[in-house]
Amino acid sequence: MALAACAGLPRPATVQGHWMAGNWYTFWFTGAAIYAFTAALIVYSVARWRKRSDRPAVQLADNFLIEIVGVLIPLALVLGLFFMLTWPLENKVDRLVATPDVTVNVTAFRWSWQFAYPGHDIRILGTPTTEPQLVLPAGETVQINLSSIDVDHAFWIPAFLYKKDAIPGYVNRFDINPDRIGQYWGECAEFCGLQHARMHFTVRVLARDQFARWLASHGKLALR
Amino acid sequence: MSITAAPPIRIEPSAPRLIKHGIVSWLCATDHKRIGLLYMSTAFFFFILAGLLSLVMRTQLAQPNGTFVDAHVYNQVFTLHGTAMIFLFVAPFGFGLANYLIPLQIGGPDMIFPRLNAVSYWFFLFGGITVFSGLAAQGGGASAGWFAYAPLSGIQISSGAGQDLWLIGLLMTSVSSIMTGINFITTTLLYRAPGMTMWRLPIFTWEMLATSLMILMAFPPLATCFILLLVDRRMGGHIYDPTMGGSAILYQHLFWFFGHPEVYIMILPYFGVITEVITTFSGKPTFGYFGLVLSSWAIATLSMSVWAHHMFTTGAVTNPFFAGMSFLIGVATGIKFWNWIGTMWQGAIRLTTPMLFALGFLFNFLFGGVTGMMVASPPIDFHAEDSYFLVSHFHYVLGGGSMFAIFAAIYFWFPKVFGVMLSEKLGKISFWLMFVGFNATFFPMIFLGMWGMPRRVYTYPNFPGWGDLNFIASAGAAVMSLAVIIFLVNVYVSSLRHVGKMADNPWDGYSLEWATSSPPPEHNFEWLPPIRSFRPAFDMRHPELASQAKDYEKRAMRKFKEGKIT
Repeated sequence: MALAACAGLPRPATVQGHWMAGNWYTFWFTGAAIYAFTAALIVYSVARWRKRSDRPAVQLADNFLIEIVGVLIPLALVLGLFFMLTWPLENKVDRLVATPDVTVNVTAFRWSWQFAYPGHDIRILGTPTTEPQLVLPAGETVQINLSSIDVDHAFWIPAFLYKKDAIPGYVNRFDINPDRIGQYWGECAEFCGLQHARMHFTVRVLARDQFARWLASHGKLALR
Repeated sequence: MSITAAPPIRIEPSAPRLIKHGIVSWLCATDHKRIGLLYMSTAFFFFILAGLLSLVMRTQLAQPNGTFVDAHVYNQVFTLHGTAMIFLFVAPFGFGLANYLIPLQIGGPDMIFPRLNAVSYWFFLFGGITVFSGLAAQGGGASAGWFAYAPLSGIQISSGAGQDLWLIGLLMTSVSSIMTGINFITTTLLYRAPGMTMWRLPIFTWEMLATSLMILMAFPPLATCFILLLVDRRMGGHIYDPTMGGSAILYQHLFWFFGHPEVYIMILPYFGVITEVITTFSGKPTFGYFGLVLSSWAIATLSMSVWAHHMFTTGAVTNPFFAGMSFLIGVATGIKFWNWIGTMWQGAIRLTTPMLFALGFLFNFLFGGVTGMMVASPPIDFHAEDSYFLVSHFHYVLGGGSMFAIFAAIYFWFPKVFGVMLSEKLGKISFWLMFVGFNATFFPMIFLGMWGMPRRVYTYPNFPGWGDLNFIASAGAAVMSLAVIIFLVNVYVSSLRHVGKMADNPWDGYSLEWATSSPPPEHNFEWLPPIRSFRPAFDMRHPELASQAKDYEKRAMRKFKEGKIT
């Protein structure tokens, strides 16, 4: 946790978010190690071989072995990261279940959001000055159907470490499994014109029974 | 295919200029050195404008809920900042540098199509003016971002003429770039001096050859993309209009099919600059010349297959393919770092101002590369995309990378171009201010992005820590401006100093441009040294060392015959 605080990601609030945070830190610390190694080599070369006398430079132009090592090590590293982390995780995050517990239709427009719960007669509509609230259950699979009615937007909840574009003309579908009760904030991440900066919303993750009561009240139940 | 059977090309010097001085001589200039200077000074002027725009942004964002400018002004400012930096500064400055250097480095008298070269420059200048003239249009300049995604940039939403002028201006610079690319390729292939074989070309010229090929691949799709948008806007088309059966995602594909090679068009020339600077100030031959050349071609090739990593969150592309291809580019770039370090290893390193800027490039670009590997991985990009993490990443690559290399190039070639050395003292002060200011500006943005600050926002709420980090970033921008001011003072003060005749080769450079006078005569060379390796000017000055470094060409041929390279 101390490491996480130092690296600065928000604490993940979904199952997928935990996977992606782990992946993030693997890359982050691998990258830090690569940076440290390469920077140390540069600093050493400059400090060690700075011209101080008439000592001539060694006129070495190439060394096939060293050069091929400089290709193979990075190649092995990126292939390893790609086949062991990136690709499998991408597939896990993108997986869709056939029967989600809850479905929410999210519609982006200039410059706010509408959250609709099909089958429950709930529509939550925001404006640039009044943020809409997306209500989700913890411990269940939520499927989001994301679309836009005007220009490109992107639906981003930093605590979920996830965003998806809302593009007019087709519906983007993805699953999230919130696992931490609490209130989070979300925003539009794709530039969409004048009030792009004000396109905020909040997310409320409720316990399963409380969410069921909220659904049954058609969204009228006051959330405190 | 027999190349050797082709008849030799005779280089006939064109008639000397009739008008040698005054503004008319610049308006009529077809000499590659003059056009190169026009290109570089115009690009630098746009850099100053775009830099001033960035100060407006940093002032607005210095505090939460800033009120320095309103949303409409801010959106125009960031659109123009990005457009000018990318289309009017970083790429064209490289073209200007190449215009100046390629004929000198290959021992040719001029570019092969001098008039086409002049046309390229004037298209570039008027394209840039057209983009900026949008500010005077009713409703203000373009405000849909440098990427101008449709339908946001469509007529229904961006109804002003500013957007049209932006599109037309950039179409002109696209045409200019295509003509320049053709000129560079043809010149490099056909105008080389006797003895200057392909495997003796300086790395900068090699990088420009790869860059030019990418220009020919990337700019036609951009022109297509913009022309179709103009058809939508002014001729009633519905190509990008999903409500009438068009496709919004098509715009992104066309734009990024240009946009990603463009990223390498903006960095490959500067890889060349850095290689030249490090090689010269290490007093050694470039380590791993073959590797550097081949890695550039690998980057140029792979650059055509990574565009959709800008679209990982669209849900419309096959993410793993584009992620894998992007990772491979990281390997090709890693080779360059390896070889730059190899060039410094066991050298005799002189820490001059250009070398300091080159080292600054290495540290900054390395950071941009590491964050680049992160965002090339879709599960990371799902969080980082369109956040300040991305802003930090690409500024480390384009600002900390290309911009630092541009300053290295200016300090390095200034004595060759003007016959005057820039002050080393002021240069080093300027470097340290720029290095500190740059990192103060863009390092905090990594964390802002991770905490969730999106890009292209004119204001942000008062979340804990956001105001502080943004304030540090704004302070860093002020320090960077100071560095640029000191640079301009340096140019002014140094150019006043009368130093008599400048030495041909003040830095002990290795490539052919250092064998002619400073500044070079109208037709570049009164005479040419024998070209027996890839560093003729070095061999001429250090005949005792020349025999130590083996000729790449012979060495490569031997290895090839022995079956070590296939």
